Amino acid sequence: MQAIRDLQAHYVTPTVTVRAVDGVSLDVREGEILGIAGESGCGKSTLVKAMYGYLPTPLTIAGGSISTTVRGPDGKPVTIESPDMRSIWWKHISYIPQGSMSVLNPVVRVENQFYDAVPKSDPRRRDRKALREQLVQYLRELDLPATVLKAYPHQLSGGMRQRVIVALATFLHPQLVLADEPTTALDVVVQRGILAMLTRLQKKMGNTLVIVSHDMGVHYQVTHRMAIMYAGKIVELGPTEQVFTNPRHPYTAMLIRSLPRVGQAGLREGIPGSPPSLITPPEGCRFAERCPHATALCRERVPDLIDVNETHQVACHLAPAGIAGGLAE
Amino acid sequence: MSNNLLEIRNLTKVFKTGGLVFGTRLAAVDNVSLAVAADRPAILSIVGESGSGKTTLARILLRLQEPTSGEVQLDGKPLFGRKGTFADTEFRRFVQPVFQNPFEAFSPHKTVDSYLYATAMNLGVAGTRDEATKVIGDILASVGLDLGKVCGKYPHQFSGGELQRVSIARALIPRPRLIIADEPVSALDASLRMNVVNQFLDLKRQFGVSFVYVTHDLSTAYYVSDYIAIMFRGQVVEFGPAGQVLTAPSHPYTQLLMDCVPKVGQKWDTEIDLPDVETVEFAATGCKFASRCQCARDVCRKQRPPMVELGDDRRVLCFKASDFTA
Amino acid sequence: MKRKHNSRLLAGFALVSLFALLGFVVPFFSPEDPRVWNTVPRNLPASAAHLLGTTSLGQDTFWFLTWAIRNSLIIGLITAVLATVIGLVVGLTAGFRGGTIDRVLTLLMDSFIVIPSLPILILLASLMKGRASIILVAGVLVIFNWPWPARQARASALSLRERDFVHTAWFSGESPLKITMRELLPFISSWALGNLINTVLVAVATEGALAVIGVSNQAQATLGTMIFWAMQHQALLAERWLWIGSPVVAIMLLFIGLFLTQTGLSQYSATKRGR
Repeated sequence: MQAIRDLQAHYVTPTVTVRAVDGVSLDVREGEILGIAGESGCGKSTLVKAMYGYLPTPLTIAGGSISTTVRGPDGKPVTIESPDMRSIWWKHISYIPQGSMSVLNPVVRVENQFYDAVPKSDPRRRDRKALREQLVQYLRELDLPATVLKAYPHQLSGGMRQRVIVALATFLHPQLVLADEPTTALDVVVQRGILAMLTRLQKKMGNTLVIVSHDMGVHYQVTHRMAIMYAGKIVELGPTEQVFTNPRHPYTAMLIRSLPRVGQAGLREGIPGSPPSLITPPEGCRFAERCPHATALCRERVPDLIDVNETHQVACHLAPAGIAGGLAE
Repeated sequence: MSNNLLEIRNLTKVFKTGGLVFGTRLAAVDNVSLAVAADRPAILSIVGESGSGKTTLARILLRLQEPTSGEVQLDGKPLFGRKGTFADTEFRRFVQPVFQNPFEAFSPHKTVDSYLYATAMNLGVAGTRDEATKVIGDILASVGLDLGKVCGKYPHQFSGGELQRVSIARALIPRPRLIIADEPVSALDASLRMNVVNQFLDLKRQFGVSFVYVTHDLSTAYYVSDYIAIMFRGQVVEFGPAGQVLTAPSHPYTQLLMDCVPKVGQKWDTEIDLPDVETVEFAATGCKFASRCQCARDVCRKQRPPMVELGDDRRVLCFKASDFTA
Repeated sequence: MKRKHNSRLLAGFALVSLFALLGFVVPFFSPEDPRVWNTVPRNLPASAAHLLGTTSLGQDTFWFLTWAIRNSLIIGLITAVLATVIGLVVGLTAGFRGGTIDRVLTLLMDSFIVIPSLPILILLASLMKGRASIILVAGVLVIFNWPWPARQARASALSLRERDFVHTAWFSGESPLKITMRELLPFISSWALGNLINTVLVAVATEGALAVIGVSNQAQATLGTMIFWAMQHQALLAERWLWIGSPVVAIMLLFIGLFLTQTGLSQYSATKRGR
């Protein structure tokens, strides 16, 4: 579906260059639900923007490549390189940006926003009535009341707007859906509903779903495979269950340990310190400063992403030996 | 009988929404009664979805909004009304806020320490700038920050977690008895929330300050509170000691909330009913949760449920519970 | 992109500085009061002694022009500064305080906006005919120019006052006045500056228009009165271009300078914000 090779996506301004994504290689496989986890500022939003091909200045791709392969109208695979992504936006690949609550046009009714999303070349554009029926049907599948169609965005609550946005982003049945923090700032009930919406669609349509979230709980519930990012690089990559039961990177272990669990009253610890600057990243492993297991080697040399087994990779000098922490704890 | 630290009685706030002619009235806070005792510092969590009325309640407690009816008393003194109520300065020394988004809580045009000094000097904590510096330095240290690193900086120069700690420090300067924290960790990464929430526990112990912690995050609420009030569409549907309410919920909505927390180690297996458009649920006669409740019966849809005392300081607004106690 | 805004702002600033020089520095060197008639021979063409020639009234055109620029600028600046300050204070207070204060102040604002300024100005000018000093003229112009920044300030205050940092400031014990000035004002300061520059323009233009139709103080030297007197003496018909042309060109260049400065400034602050 998508092959990302040594991607460097930087924010380039006259004064500073922020190396938000600094050497990321990743494969997005067709039909999977891939999670990208990490704290704020680790580069995950930037990565997803690059995957979509949405590069507003000053964001530029400074190195590496992204190739996306989608199934063309005749069913044959078509490969597109990152500069040409625009041509497949919305139809084959859609993007739900962070903070999408303000993505809807405030002066246009919801149903018209759906109509506007249909490309001009599509015959459905001419037959409004049929399109409306399709819409109502689609909303019903997603458990959204048909009354939202007539509403303006401000008349809907935050959670409802987000559900509408997910419907909007998926209603042309794109093959790849990129969701950047789709449930942040929403309460747990709506969060569960939206994640259920996305996974149900994925099962039905067989599309590929990439979910970015800082909430590890979300990843556990929903993703097949996950990538943990830290300071612009991927530090761990593997099947979700494995990553949770046997995290190989100290950062992953600390992330999992920091989640409070209802029913367990023990003292939970957050992660001390803060991520390094992305303008002048440190030599060596970027997590070394906060890592309780850091060695001299860690501070000198950047660890590469190595295989732990066929499906699990980690970027850590201590990887072969492994560290404790995870569900087992 | 000594006064409760915080006493809320039959508090109601009605908003008119929609157009001038066809608008509807919406009770954002609907007959809420809660109390926090004064004998020892406590953390009361008010938990609810968006649209539950918890933020409106928080604003009323901060006197940023006026209620339509009902009363609020702090240490026996009413918050609203003409007579016998708090003077501004007195109020600000008693209650302080912590807001959801730390980057919104400070003006981007001012340094954050200007707020710290203002609080210290305006609310009578320090007489001179030097005294203020000492006080501020101590309080910042108690939240794990260094005055030297905070001074002269603008909000954008901090991370979310750090800035929220500055916000908490500012609230502590006048040694308030009550801090109202409106979703203080929602804008932070899940991994950073524990840091802030641990801070609350620490401050409660160190300074003897009580918190009203408004949130939709059940996990931190469980972790930090003494008491929990669950709100749904403006009403308190369940109240009691935190541990009990969350491990053995009585109200179906509390149970739903618990089920929806993405727990590591337990996968979701069932479908749930999602909320309808807000105004529809608010306008329901009878129990507002009836349309989504698994146990709903006819009486639930027709009549408003009673508040049932379950003993042990627990209360629930449900017909199901009244069956057992009847 | 960067070069573009720099040149605009620089050009505007250069022009305005030129006028400031001409208006505030140069007049000190004038040999005598250029308003007095018949100090020099009439209708002379441009020469070394008389840079822009002389007028039909026996005045040196160049020195008269510099005094005219000075007075027009004074009117413009006084009006702009007073109108902006009054407007901001009234508007911010009305928006922030709300309630009765807001209603009273808004009534005041809206009344002045609705009343057509030109007829009133003509009336006032006619009443004070011949005796109004430029300060008084500026004062009158202020009355009609403060409501616009006031309304903008009020709108800003209304939207800003619900923001959390205003609540933080309140809980930090700050008084409403302090909150207005230190929390709300910075958000409209760049707009206010642009508005101030614009008001200079408007004031100069209004005074000029009044003077040209003969209702300003004809004894004073302003760009408008200069045009008035030139027209009175058929300068157009008699093709005395320097006399009537120079104030017109001066007004044009002054306006262009102010406009470039204002737009240059807003471009500059936009790039500072990173757009």
